[in-house]
Amino acid sequence: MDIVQNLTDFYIPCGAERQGSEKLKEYLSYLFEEIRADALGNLLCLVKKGEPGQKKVLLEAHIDEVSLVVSNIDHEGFIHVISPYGLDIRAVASKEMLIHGEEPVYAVSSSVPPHLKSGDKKDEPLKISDFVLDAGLSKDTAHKLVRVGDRVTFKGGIKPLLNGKIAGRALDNRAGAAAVITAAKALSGRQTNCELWVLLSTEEEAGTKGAAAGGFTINPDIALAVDVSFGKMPGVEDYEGVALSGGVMPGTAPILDKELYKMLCIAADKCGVPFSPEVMTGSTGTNAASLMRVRKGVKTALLSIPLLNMHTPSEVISLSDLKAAVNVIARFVCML
Amino acid sequence: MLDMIKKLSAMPGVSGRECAVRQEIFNKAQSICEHVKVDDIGNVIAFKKGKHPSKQRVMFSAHMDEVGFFISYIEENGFLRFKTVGGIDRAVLTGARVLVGEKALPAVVAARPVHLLSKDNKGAAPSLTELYIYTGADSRKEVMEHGIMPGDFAVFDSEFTFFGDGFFKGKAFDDRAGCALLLNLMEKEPYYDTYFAFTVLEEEGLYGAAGAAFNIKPDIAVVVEATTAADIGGTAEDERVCALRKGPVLSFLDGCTLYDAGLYNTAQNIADKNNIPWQPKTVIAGGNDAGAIQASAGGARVLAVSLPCRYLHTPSCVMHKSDIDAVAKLLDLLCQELGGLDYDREIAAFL
Repeated sequence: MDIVQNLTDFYIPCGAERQGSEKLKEYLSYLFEEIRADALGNLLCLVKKGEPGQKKVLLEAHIDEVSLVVSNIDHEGFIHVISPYGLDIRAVASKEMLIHGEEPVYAVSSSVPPHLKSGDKKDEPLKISDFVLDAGLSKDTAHKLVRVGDRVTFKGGIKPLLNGKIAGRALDNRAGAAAVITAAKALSGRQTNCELWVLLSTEEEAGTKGAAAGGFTINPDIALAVDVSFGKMPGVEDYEGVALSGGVMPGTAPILDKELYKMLCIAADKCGVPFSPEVMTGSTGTNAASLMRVRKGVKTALLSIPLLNMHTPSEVISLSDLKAAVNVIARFVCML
Repeated sequence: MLDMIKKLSAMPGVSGRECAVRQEIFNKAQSICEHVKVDDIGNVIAFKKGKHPSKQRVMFSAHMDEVGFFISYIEENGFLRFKTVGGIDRAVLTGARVLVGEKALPAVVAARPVHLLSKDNKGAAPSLTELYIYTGADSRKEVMEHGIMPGDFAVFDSEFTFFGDGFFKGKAFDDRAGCALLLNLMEKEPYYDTYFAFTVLEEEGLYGAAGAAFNIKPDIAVVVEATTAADIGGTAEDERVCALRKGPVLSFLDGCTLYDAGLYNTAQNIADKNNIPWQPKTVIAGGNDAGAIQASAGGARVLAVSLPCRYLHTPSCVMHKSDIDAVAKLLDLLCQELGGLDYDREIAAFL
């Protein structure tokens, strides 16, 4: 599963995806019959053209990653940020960060020194304004290299852990993207009854925007969103998550198509892949919510891969779950 | 010297588990000094003959240990409970990377995902009982098959990196930077006989230095440390303690020690005379081995010369090259002069 590692080499900060997604487009161009980027940086990829009358199927995964936004450069050159996209504030202290200006700028995020946190302040929740980015630059140099509005992400690639687990930033949702791309590659040589598209979407973390735009352009009959969900650990109850290496999570919710959900379960069963239903209400917090509302409405399904430490620089997934997702997606498409 | 800081800081050496660092320092010291030994509790003690016998017995010390973790319990599902060793703020732990045990197995610190927390709680640092180290192993049995047992240590996983305008980042600069400075000092030809102590267990509560001082029985002890610099954007001037790029930090008082006023002045004078920038430690916080050395073996005059370090006790300690150079220069001069001070006569006259 080198693909997931390669995908995380790209920095695609939420809200400023164009540069990263353009590079990703180059990297993926050999895989698809056709690949193009739209105004939001979405990558619209044609896997195989269908016969007239065949349904159009869309496999979707978002490629943006949680980011911070530069709000101010102070008189000492420290860079202040805001956090509009749900990045885990608890994970900000003392990390390596990249500021995505014209050229990436390395910075260390600060931590609040203990002598400033005595007494009652010790247990106060952290705010993003408690932190600054320390790029080790003078005010003048910082102003040359960094601008207000630049996006900031965690820095770093994938590190393998024991038993086929991998840790890194942006596995939400490069894991889903890797699953979709790998499944599409497998399907491109197989007999299917549909025209098959992949949408690698942007601005998911900003409110599932990219999928709405990309979905409109592709105009599918059926959509499958692939994303990550909560892995189980001590403190996460059985009803809240699935253990890593515990298989995939077909989603069911009022907005998700019931027949497609059943097909995902059957596909998993036929593949011999363990699966646990993920029952949700409301938007599901994924791009399924945007895809379902494309044009006249689209039958939409959702498949998730369990992940630990969501929205931190140390997200963890199991490669066996990723492989399971690939198999289930491919089987699911063949069943349509 | 930056190479030595890089090399030493990359090694694991949680308090009480300083073995790898000790070995490296012992070997290096042995290639430089006449006498090197490891005492019963693990301190490295070295003696370097000077051109002249000294009037005062002078000891320079730095501690080898770093803050870190001890694995305390292995859950049935393979998640590791841990205790922190030394003063680690739990606010730096969520999503941190660590290396577990002698084999340095990569792992992460895992917490309940932020999405599942109530709105008021989203920024609250989890308590230590809500944080786990996760190695990827899925059961207690698997964890133990990889040789991990309760009582094993873990350290922050953080690569040494230069960035910005002369800054560098890594783990355990407190106090491997001090150790590197001592090794550097050791290589010079001292004017007077000089003792060096590389101590254990500082972060756990100054448990090692007293033993080293008892063995050496110094008249004057210079503790070379890393101290917290809060010169961070948004921090008020009077809360900054000290600042990077302003040279050695000299302490008159901290959480553990009232420093010798005469030595404090002597160090200032030497720095001023030689155009070495220096700064006082302006917030009374923290402490170091001086607190233990001062009252050991009948008492010693103590001086602390510290390197300013941002984000101390985190995976991303930050220091500046210019401070390393300035501290090295000051230590060199102190080493040339302290051994010749006339303290004994002072006391004799008083008696």
